[in-house]
Parts: sequence; C-alpha cells; structure tokens
Amino acid sequence: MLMQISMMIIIAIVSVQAQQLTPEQIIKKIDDTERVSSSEGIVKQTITTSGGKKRTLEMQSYTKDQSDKQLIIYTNPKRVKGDKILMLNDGDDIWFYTPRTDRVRHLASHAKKQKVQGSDFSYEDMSGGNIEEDYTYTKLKDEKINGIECYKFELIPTESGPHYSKMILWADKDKFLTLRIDYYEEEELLKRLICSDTKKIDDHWYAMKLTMTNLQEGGETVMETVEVKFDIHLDDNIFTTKNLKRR
Amino acid sequence: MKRQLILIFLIIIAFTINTISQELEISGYYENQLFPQELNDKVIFQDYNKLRIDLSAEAGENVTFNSDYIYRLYHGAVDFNLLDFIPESVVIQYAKQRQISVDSIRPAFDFKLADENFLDNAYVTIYSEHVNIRIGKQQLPWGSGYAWNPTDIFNAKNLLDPAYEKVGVNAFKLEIPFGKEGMLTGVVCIDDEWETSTKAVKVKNHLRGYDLSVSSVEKTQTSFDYINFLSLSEKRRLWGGDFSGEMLGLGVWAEGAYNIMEISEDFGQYLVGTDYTFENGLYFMGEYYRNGLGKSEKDEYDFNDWLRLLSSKGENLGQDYIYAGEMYPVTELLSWSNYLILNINDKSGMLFPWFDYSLNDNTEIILVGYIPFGENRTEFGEFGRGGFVRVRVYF
Repeated sequence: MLMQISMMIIIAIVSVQAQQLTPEQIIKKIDDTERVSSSEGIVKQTITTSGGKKRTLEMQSYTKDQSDKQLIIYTNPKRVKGDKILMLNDGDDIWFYTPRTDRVRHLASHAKKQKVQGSDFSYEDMSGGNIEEDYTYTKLKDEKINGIECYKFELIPTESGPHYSKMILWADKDKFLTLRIDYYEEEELLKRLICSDTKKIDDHWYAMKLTMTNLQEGGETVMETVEVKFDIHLDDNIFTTKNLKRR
Repeated sequence: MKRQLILIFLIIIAFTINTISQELEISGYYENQLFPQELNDKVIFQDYNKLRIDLSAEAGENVTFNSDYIYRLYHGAVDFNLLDFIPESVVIQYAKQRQISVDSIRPAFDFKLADENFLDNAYVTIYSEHVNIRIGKQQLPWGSGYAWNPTDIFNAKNLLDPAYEKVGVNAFKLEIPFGKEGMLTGVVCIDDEWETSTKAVKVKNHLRGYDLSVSSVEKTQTSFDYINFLSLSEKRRLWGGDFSGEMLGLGVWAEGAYNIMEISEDFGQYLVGTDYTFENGLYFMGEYYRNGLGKSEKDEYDFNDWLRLLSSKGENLGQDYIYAGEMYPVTELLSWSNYLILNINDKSGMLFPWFDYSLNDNTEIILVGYIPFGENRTEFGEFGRGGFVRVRVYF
C-alpha cells in the first residue's frame, strides 16, 4: 500500500514537472529528440498523384551535426539514379547534382519551394532546420492526436525559416516527437504532414513513416524509412560539393 | 602519338573492367525522337532511335570507372543540303563572290545524317584526399549560364534544348580541393602536340552564398573562311569568370569571357540571368546574352556567319539576345513550359512550348513545338515551324 502511494506521488511529481515545462524547454526537447548527432538510412518514397497514379523512389539518406548537414542520394528508379541533394547550414545552402550532365547547381532560396522529384515534399520540407532558430512560436492548448496527448504550437517562420506563412505542430508529450504539422499560406491550409510508426532505435525515438498530403491538389507522398542507424561516424568529406561528383 | 595514347587508354579501361567486372553496373536509356519541320514549303519528318548504355564500377576504394556507349539510327529525312537552311539571297550573293553558279556549289554542302555509334564518355577517376584525377572522354560542364556558356570552350549548346546531355571531351582533368568548398581544376585536352593541345585552369569557391569561379583557357582553333576559301589556325586565349547566387530573393547568375585571338579580332561574350519560383510553383527565368562575335544588322550576316550558326559550334548571328522561360507543374506528372529566344538586333525569335510528362517511373515523354518569327534573312525568321516528340525509357 505504502509502495503504491509512493509510486503515485512520484508519477504526480513527474507529471507536474512535465506540465511545468516552459514552451522554450518543450521546443528544445523536440529539437533535441529530432536532431540526432548523425544518421544513415534507406528511405522509400511513394508519390500518389491526385489522379491516383503512383511513382516510387528510393534513396539513401545521411545526416550529421544535428541535421545541420544532410545528403540524399537517389538509388531508384533508373530515371533519377545518382541524383544527389546536399543541404548544409540547416538547409540554408542546397545543391543539386545530376550525373548525366555532371553539373552541381546551387539552389536560390525561392527554388527551395519547388517539389523534390515531383513529390509533395519541397526542398525546404526535406531540410533539417531548427525550430528555435527558424521560427517564432506560441504554445497553444494541448490536444490529442489519435489518442496521444500532444503539445500544440503555432510556428511563424523567421527569415531563415521556410516560406510558409505559418505552421501548426503537434508533438507527442512523452516522446517529444512531432506527430503532425499543418502548413499554411495566408491562412489557407496547404499541406499536412503525419508522422507515424514511431520506434525507439539506438535510444532515439523516430517516426518511420512520414505522410505529406497536399490538401490543395489532392496528392500524397509517403516516405518510409526502410532501415536507419543513429550516432554513427560519418566523414565530413561526405557533405561537400566536391563529393557530389564522386560516383 | 594520339593513337598511342588512345591505345594506352583502352588498355587501361580493359584492364580496369577485367579487375572489377563483378561490380559492374549497367544502366542507360532508349530514346526515340520524331522531328517534323517545315523546309522549302514542305513538311519533312526526321526520326532517330538512340540507345545509350552506361557502365560504371568501383575498382577498389578510390578508383571508379564510367563509360557510356551510344548507338543512334536515323530514319525519314536524312539527306540535306546546308544551303537550304541559308537565305537564298545570301547564297546568291556568295555564288557571285565566288563567281560560280549556285547549282555548282550545292554538292559541296550536301550532308547526310548517318547512323552512328561511339563511346560518348569513358573515363577512370582516381580519388585521394588532396587530389582527384580523371582520365578519358568525360563531361566538362563549365559556366553558370543556362542557354549560353561563354567560358565553356569545350561544348556547344543547342539553344532549343540547352539542358540536353553534352558529348564527352577527351581530357586529362586534375582537381585539387582547398578550403571548405574550393576547387582548383586543371584540364588538358591532348592534341597531336603539346603546343596545340587545349589547356584550361579554373578556380572555384563558395563564398557568402555565392558560387564564384575564374578561368583561363588556351586553345588552338581552326576556322574556315568559305568566302575567301582560306583556312585559319590560331591561338585563342580565354579569360573568364562566373558566379551564381541570390539577390533580393531572386536567383542571379552571370558569366563572361574575353577572348584574345592570335590573328582575328579579340572578342567578349557575357551574360546575366535571373530566376524565381512563385508560391504556386510557377517558375520563371530570364537571361540576357551579349555576343561580341555577332553583327548588329541582319544585312551584315554573311555566308560564313550562317555556316557557323549551322555548324556544331552553333555560334549566334546577332549581338544581343534574350532567353526567357516559365515552367508550371500542371500536375505531379505533367509540367508545361514556354520558352522564348529573341535576337534583339534583327527582331527575330522562337517561341517554343514544352510539355514534359512522366508516363511511369522510368518513362518520360516530351512534346515541343517550334514557332519561329521574324523577317526574311533574320536568324530565326528563316527557321521552319516544327517541333519534336521524344520518348525516353530508362533501364
């Protein structure tokens, strides 16, 4: 009986502490959870058009320094095989390489709005980013997503952030992991990202499935992580423009 | 000497393939292009089948081998006479200068689109921490321009399809990385003698959001003066540079080169460009090009100018050009673009709508129309209406 009371007291204290987290602390915890030191993974991307047609792409993904550096290498289908996207400085600098012309192209900020390989993810959606630096945020009333208690935030992009006018983010209260983001342009809901199939891998909570639905055009893109490793050693040279041409 | 070098190169490739055959990757594409065009009050049909086979392999940790082989078969209209693409008055004027009849010069300008097969690219790359070496026939894309590249002495762009892959260049390339994103590149394209070989050097870096480069090239080039029937071989020294980056939210780039000629007149070629993507995905780009080799009046275009335009060099006739385009993703699988090339001097141009459709994961279909405008004897006014349908299947 005494033990049960003790447990209840501990749970109550932890619960009160969690409730007492400031918005800044919550955002920092979300950033810390999602910005791992390094990762290497294989991702399958399925694009479903508004007309119901499907396109499937596969890619290798590498990140380092809390996603400050990212590299994506397309491996399938043959049409895009060898295309590479390098993102540095939290996505501020993005280069695109295509092997057929052996040309590396630096993308201007406006080009980051463009869809990546026809998917519903834009370059800036794919880039890491940092909530603390790229947005001003306001904590809204907590909500449940699929029965999971979530923190809810309104994010307004700063100059270094994406081009959306605002985003609404829901993050799991226990795991500090994003479960949903709504993207707005001038109060109009453009896209919705659902993060699901959360798993703990190498001591990191991770959403294995990301579904971006284009609410304006009707298409949908699903990114499924086939395999992923965290906290591995990746050489800095991998994340350089000169390495893009290596094949 | 050249044959010996090629032989040595082929032996290296054969040896390399042999040692790495277990890891050899084979890919490529099949392409069919149907190209109807108005010519002499008729519509002619030209068609080709192209098969490209890419081979690539890693020969150990720091050595890779890449090659692609192209086989192209032509159908339909394959026999042409260059004079049919040159204004009649220019041809008559030329015949008068040569004091011969037009009919007697025509056979000298017959050409045939013959079936072809060749190694488009074939090279070995050796990587190390401080230097990369690439030997063989390879892509050498220089410059930040889209429709033109004044600093690129190795390739000629097709204005009607500037992004199409280029033919490989036989070269020895040395790259020395420095700093975070810097690269010093040296290129030698071997000719019969060192003196006539093309030598190029480029320094590139990424500073404060801008990709910057300066380059210098020395080349011996030969041109033929059809009016005076003289061949001229001379040294060309190019000093150039380019940058690309962003200003006021717009993508911006510029590229320029000044060419110091041993005998002919020196000339400069420069361009500036900008692009922007709107919230709805509409993309716009524009480029202005100043061609120091060009003429300011259409009446100044002579027979040599027209032949240079029609040759693989694709040198433009005028001095000032605008290239503008917009692209809109109509659906996830279909994009619709419209491009415009305008010769400001002779007020002729070409409008070409461009549709790109993804039929499935590995098949794309491109439909393009050519709508030229301009008076007679202008650069694009003489171009027949037409277009092409291109189907490409990757494997």
